Amino acid sequence: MSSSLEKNMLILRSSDGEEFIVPEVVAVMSKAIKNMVEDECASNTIPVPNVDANILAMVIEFCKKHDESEAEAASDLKTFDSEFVNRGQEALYDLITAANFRDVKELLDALCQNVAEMIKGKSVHHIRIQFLGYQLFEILTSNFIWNIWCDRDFD
Amino acid sequence: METRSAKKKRLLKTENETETGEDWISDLPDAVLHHILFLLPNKSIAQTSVLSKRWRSIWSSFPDLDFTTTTNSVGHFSSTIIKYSSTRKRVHSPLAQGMDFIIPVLALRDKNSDLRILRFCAQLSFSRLNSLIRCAVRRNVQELDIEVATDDYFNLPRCVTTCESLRVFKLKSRYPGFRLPPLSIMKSGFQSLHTLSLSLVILYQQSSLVDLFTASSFPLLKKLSLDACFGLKNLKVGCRGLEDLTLENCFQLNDLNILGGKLEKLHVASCFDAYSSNSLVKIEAPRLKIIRWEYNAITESSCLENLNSLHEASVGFFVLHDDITVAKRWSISNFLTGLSHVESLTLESQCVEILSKNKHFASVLNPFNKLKTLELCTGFNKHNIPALACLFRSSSNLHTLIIKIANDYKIERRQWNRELWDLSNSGEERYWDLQTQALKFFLHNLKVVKIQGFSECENDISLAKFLLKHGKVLEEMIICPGHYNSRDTHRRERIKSQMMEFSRASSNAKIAFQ
Repeated sequence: MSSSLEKNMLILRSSDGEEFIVPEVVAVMSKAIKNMVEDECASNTIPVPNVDANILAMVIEFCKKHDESEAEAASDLKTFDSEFVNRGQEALYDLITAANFRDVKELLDALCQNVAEMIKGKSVHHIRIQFLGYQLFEILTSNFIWNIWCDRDFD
Repeated sequence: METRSAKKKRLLKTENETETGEDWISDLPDAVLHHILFLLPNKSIAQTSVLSKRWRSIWSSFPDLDFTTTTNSVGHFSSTIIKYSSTRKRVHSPLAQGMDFIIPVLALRDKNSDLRILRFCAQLSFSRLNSLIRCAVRRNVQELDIEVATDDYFNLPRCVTTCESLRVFKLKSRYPGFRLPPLSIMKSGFQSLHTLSLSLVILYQQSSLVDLFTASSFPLLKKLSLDACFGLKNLKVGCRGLEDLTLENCFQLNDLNILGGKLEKLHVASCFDAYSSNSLVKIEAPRLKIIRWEYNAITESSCLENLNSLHEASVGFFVLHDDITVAKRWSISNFLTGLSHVESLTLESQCVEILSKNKHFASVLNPFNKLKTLELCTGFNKHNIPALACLFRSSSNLHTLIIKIANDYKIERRQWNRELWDLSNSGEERYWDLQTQALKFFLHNLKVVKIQGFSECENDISLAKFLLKHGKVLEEMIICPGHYNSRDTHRRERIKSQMMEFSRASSNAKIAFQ
């Protein structure tokens, strides 16, 4: 950490080369980055492969909010979370993979909660069309009926 | 940001030329999908298994099986038990259907994937329970949470004791109970257990658990809960790492010995044999913070040692006869002496009653020098007043006093009336005034008084009047009236305004009626 950077700041470089300067406390909300910092194998710039600038910016926004509002009311944070994760499907996918790969627990929890809400109470056909990219005719012609209550004996 | 994602979306759409999204969810890693499924009710999770082959494998390797969300509510459950136990025949119930669900789910599981949690609540035969538990143990289960009703008494399966992966084990029998394996097996097992909770244990054959929870056995145990242990007479708990101990409904308990270097929380309720002539309790726990002692029969002797970190205590006894033997009186005063480091103390009404009926305590009650908050539940009759005065005397540094008055309609309490007000000195008031000197320190420190269940009778009003008149640093008196009939509203208002005019020793004392 011998750069002209302020103390306790880190540079994160996204997969497409954009750089973000973030405080260390925010960056270490990612366990993967935390481990790198603790093992002192991080130079002043930490590459974040597989995460593009767009997604990285979102993750940083989320972490900053959570870092600032640790003392704030939990309900405020909850509304922020639910608004934050309310995004289009491919943004959601990228965010989940980023959160999972970089091990940002709070973000992963919020995102998984959101996906669970999307699935909850929906019929199988509905889920297939909305999330799995099935076409209507595929469902109508398929004989996908697989009975889980089959009479197999236990053990 | 917005524009970028919008652009990406447009590009994707033109590329694929389809209206529906890609199957992005199925591409997520297994661990993430398990995380998502974990947030859904079990039935929805099972439903996703028919989505595609991918989802089927996700379901069959899903490690957290909680069947309590799919099987019936507890209300259903208990009503079935009653039916079941009276007819002694298998009745077709929603519970039985629940079982039909659990077994195929386990049978269809991926043979190589481990279980993390298995939680269910069912009515089943012992052999089925045994095979379920064996199956879970084979899959290295970490948390086993079972609530069952069986046809007959059963023995705790031995495979549980030797399971190395088990961290949390909770077994609750609704009916009729279960027995433990021989102590030698119990002692050497449960090497990685953190939490143990047993309910409805039949211990008539092994009534002494003195050498089960010793310093060497249960090396990692942090939380122990024993409920309804029938026949348990002697219990000794000395696990090194134990932090939280709960003991409930052990009616035959005679001898309790707790030695916990790390124990922080202790809850003992409805325990001890009231008819026993040599019952005893011994507690030594230097890190104990909270002790809750409720509806326990009074032991012949008690010994509380080294409770130096005690923060909160709540004491209530179950009293069989009104006349308490000398030994039991000493036992109670030893118990209260053991609590002398406490900062917040609650005395239930039976406890206040015992103190009131036995003059003995006035002379032996130890001072509570650290006590900041005192909560007393009492019927507040005339005979309680000396006991209250005695308690006030021993708590000279008190900050907050809470009195909860339970109005017993059988006992007539003298109503406050105009004449008494004019005479200005009723019997109770005179009694309190005589105490002023003895209560000097108490009155110099008391800041907040809260009286719940306040009614317009002499005892309540004269206490409020006394505290206002002599409380030098009193800041607030909160009065919450008890039950009254609407005819009294006028009277109540009049007394309220009379009370506002009582003389106050502290200039910034406020009176608030709630």
